[in-house]
Amino acid sequence: MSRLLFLLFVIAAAGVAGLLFQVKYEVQDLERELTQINRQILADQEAVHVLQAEWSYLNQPARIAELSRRHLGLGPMQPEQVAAIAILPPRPEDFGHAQAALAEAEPEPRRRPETPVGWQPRRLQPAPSPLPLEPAAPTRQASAPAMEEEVTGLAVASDVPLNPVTGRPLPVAATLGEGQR
Amino acid sequence: MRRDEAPKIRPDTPCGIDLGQPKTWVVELEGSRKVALETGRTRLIVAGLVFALAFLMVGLRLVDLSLLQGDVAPRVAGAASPGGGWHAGRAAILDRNGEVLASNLPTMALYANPRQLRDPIEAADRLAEVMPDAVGDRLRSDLASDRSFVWVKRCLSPRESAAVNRLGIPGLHLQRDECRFHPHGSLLAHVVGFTDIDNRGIAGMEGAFDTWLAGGETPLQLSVDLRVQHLLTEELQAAIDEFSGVGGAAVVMDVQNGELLGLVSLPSFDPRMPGRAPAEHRFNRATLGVYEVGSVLKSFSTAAALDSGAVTLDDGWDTSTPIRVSRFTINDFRGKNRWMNVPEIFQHSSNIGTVHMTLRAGTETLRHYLERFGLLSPAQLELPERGRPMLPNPWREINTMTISYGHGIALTPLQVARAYAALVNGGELVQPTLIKRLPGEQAPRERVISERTSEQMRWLLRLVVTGGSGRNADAEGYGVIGKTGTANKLSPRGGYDLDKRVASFAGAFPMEDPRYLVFLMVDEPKPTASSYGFATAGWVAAPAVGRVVSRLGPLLGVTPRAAGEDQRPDPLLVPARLRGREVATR
Repeated sequence: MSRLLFLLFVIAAAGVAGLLFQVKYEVQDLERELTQINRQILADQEAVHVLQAEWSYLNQPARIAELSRRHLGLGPMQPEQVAAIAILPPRPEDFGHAQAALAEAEPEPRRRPETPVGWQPRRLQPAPSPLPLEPAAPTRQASAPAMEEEVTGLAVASDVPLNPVTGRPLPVAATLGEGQR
Repeated sequence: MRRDEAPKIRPDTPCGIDLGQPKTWVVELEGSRKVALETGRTRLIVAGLVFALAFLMVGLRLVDLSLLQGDVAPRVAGAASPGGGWHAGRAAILDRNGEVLASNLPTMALYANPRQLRDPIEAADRLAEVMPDAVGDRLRSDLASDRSFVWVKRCLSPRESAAVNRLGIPGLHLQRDECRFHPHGSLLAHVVGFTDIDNRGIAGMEGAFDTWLAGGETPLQLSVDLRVQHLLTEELQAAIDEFSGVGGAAVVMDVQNGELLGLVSLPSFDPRMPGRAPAEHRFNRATLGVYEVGSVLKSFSTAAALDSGAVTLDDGWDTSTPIRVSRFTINDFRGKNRWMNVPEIFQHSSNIGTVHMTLRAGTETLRHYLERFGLLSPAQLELPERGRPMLPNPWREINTMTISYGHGIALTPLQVARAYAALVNGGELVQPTLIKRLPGEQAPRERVISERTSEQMRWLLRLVVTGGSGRNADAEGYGVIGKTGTANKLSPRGGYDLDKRVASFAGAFPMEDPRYLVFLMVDEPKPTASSYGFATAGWVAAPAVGRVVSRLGPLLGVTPRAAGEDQRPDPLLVPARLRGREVATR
């Protein structure tokens, strides 16, 4: 029993000694690394110091001005180029249109608005034009007495496609093209 | 022995017997033997306890180190690292934005041991190939001498030291050294100054803060702005070149806290080789040189007359007749020859009118105000190069008369800049400084004139720029105010030399709330064709100040006003309260 115990102790002592040596060498390595890193830090700090001086040297205003003149083509800023926020054109909010609420809302993918069933683009009254409107001219001649009739007639009996905004007939280039073809 | 059985005594046991199993019998000693045994046992127990305690402590410490103190490693590493890191032997000098203006660089120094040199002549020849500037006759004789130490060159560039290493001449040695380096060369030579070969500051801020820089690790941050200094130098140089002047000085100062953003004296020199520059180049015209500034001084005499209450803006004098005092005659330069009020006198820079105005205020008043403006005592600044003003002694009435329009008193540009800042900033004299003030730091200030007088002066100075002699200084959008001044230089033969002038302009901007002051002076400008034969301040210094302001404005973030807003005040329509009458003028 005591021999076994003795043997165990010897093994433990040997193990501990081995461990101790291993730790010692690890510590030595770490210390060497630390010294090396410290030396590196000093070298880097010195290099940074030198580079700062070089940076300042490269930033000589005369040199920068010359580079700017050669490569950028910029001129000194003129007073007219400075604007204040106060002179910018007004925004919709300035007229009471709150966009702030919309801006905070979650943006949702917009669907294209569907055209309601039976919806027709509203035809606008044609602006009185001094120019003779080629397709409209016969209609006007035909129903000269009533202005309203002329409009409705134009809207209903429209073989010619009309511009929905101006109400004027669109150029008939497409049909011409077909005819030519 | 109590028991009957004879004990099994091992004969080789040194003392007593083994008392182990079986415990059938006990040995009992008596007398001195027993005492000795008991003592030995006690000692063993004590020693054992001590060792056990020691091992226990080692064990506990081991547990403590390995398990409980997890943060010990960084501390050990920290303790092993060098304190404070690397720093140069002399602290750097920075501008207000942190650009390096002067810094110590690690370099190599080359020295020779002539006794180790096998062939001094050949060594000198080969050295001359690498660095021709270092090898002269003196070095050749030094290398041939019998000494054991000779400096060849200090502050070698990395390229040079590599080249010397490549030569591989025995007897030449490289040694680590530090060298002062000024990245911006002559641009700030007068402000930063320079050091001697052993890195001791001997001029400029290097000299003024020598002990601080030599011992410190924290860099010295100046109030100077590199960009301002550059544009100031450029414009001043352009003005000097255009009018073939012999030199010039320029100052840009923050009128609220006294920081000098630019301090230029031309011609300048290379701070690496100050010894090779002529003394005239090393002379700091901005702080050490004293000059008669001419009509610029009218601003102060007018302010004195107005602030003392002796004169109001409504007063006027007939300026058509020259003033004759003993052998002097005071006349106007291109005078108007008519009655003029104070704004007109100031705007057209009438000597006669200013003399009348100052005479009404009196000699004592003028002296008192000039004293308070700091014009009679040297201006305080960190630089060691500070000039003393040249004052008349004794001060007679004729001196009062000439000083009122700027002759007979010689001032440093720095003094004029400081007093001008007080004139336009609301009437308080601030201490100029070359050290960057901390944010929120209040400069020491002292009231000189009332705020009302300061505002009146700003209006008068604006009149000079809009319709007077300073028209060329009107940088569009920045509301420049200022006054021109042309003074003849004293001739060595006595009296004034009518062909040699000093043209100066003291200006500030923007008009409503001046933030920056620009003082610019050109020494001995010659007339040119483009200035219609004039070499006066209005043609020499004023345009330069105008260009400086239009470049300074965007740089320093002064908001320009659109041209339309820039109301040009009519000389006859100075605001009602300024004219002292309740007349609706707007």
